[in-house]
Amino acid sequence: MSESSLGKNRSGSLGYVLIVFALIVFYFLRDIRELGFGNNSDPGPKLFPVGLSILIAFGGAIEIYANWKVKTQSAEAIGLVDESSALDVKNKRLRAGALMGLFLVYILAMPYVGFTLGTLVFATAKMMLLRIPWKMALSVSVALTLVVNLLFGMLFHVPLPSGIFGLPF
Amino acid sequence: MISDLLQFHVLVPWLLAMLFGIFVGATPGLTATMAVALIVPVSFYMPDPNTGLAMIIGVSFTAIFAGDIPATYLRIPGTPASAAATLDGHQLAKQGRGGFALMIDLFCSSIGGLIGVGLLILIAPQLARFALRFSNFEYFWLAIFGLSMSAVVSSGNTLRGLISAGLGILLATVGLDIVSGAQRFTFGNAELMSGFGFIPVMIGLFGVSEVIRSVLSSPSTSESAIKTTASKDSIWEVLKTIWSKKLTVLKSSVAGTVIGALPGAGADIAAWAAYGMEQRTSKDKESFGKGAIAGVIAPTSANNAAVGGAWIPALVFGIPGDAVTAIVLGAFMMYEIKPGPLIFQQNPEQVHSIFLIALITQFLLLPCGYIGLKTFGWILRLPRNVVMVAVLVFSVVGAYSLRNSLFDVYLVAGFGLVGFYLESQKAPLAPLILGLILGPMVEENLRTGLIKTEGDLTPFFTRPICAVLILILAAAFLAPVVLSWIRRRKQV
Repeated sequence: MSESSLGKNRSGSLGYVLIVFALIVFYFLRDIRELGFGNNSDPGPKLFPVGLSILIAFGGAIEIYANWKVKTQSAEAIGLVDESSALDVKNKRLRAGALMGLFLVYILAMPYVGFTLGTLVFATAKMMLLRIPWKMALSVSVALTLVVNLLFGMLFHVPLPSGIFGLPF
Repeated sequence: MISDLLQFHVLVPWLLAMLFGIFVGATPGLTATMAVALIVPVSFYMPDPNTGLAMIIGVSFTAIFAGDIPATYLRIPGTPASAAATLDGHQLAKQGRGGFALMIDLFCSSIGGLIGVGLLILIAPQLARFALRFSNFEYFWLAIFGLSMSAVVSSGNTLRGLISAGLGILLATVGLDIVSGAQRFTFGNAELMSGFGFIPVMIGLFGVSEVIRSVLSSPSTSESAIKTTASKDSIWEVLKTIWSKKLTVLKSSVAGTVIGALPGAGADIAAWAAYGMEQRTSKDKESFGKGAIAGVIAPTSANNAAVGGAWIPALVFGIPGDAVTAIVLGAFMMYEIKPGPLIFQQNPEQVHSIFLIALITQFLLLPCGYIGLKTFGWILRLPRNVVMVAVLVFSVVGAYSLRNSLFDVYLVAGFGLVGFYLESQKAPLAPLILGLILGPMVEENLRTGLIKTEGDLTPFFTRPICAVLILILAAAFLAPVVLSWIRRRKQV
């Protein structure tokens, strides 16, 4: 299935997400202290967040309405998707989800395992997840870690996280 | 000044960055925006600002050209700006003249870039003199104009473009309020006091989200049976062909510059517009789409000229023309370069350096592009998923290296997911970026303007330049509605 056709399978959740987001923004507006502004004709720091969250919620409502209008057409389109391509899409989504999961573990674990060890392990795992043979995945990970360490660590003197193992790079 | 730029320590990183731009641009799925976003953190480590600027400007031009390489050989545009180049370039490749088409493309990109930068040099200082008359009221509308145009012309529908721009402005409100100093949405986090870091947001939106999208899409590079052999046509033949179409090069480059200068209309729109214009005015309309040389020349001259054009509003008003320029503008701010009309008076040396860098880049594009053409086969042999994992690692280290902060890395991941979600919902990302850049400009000018007028909104509507901008804005929004109404009436 092509990228464009994958793109067409949008869930129509954008409207709801926008309204929830606007409500969250509204809730946290109470944390903004006004600091007594308004006397010098400045509408104050809340003006933009308030105005924008109302506009975003309004946009979300229009999105929901527009989706509701094309609902029947979408239902027909879904019926046209054959089983094999649906399975293919599902597999790709699972793989993309797993990749992002690994990526999140990688960055969350970085303060503990350090950049070098983390990159070696997670880059190999990520490539294997994307069906790269393990030997190639491992060698590319080693090369990648070396290049990044040389470029950022040694040339630019960026103190990359060393983790609890205290690796010197 | 030229001698400063042609130093070994400037030229080497500059050329390496341009080759990086070729590599990213020629890799289907990776965009010019992403190439620039990834090079920015590296550029900050250069010994002098000019080297960093040369790297960033060099990448922005080369990545646009490089996108034409897979567009010609594989019919997969490397960047959105190369989509129009697939039409005739790929047909020529099928006829065994891919190398010839790409050599023409390379020279036209360089010439188009030169014309674009030439017009930038001619127009920008004059426009800056005029822009000195602008005050808060005009800047407010100019920023609104830039944001609205990006929403109107970007892919996806206008509503989603506007929502995306709104989200960008809302994100820009995070941190200390520029007028009152009040904290907004910081949740007591010291790292949020200065707002969302522009570069991590950018890397997340354009780097990580593209990796996810790439994993979800099936690369079809193996389907191609196109030979990527070198062209048998000599350079002389290439130059002769371009000379015979000199008017096409000129027209397309000028059109590309003008379109590129419109906020929101980037190199992709410029390329399509130039192709359409050439096809409509050609005596041999039927040959278009079947391997017409003019069909290669028009979009490839226009897309690189548009990059120069996008610099006009960026330098004069601080309004980026497209997402690439938005990133470059963000990087400028980190280099403490403040674009606007005053930069031409207060810091002319800096402006001249930028002009010179952009000009020299067009000449450096020729050897770099040639290397790109020769090594394209090697780029294709690299498994795409390996490149994607490398992009993830560089995204992490690039964001981290800015402030040595893991918080920026978490921002990359968060905005990667946000970017992917928005794109999957057909919401364009460019207006979000412009919102993030222009949000403070909109807010500051509105509020300062109101303080100046003691709460009176009238000057925002009655000053002549404001009125003109409002009229143009109204016309841009109403034109599609009126046109569709006229079309419907004609059908009835």
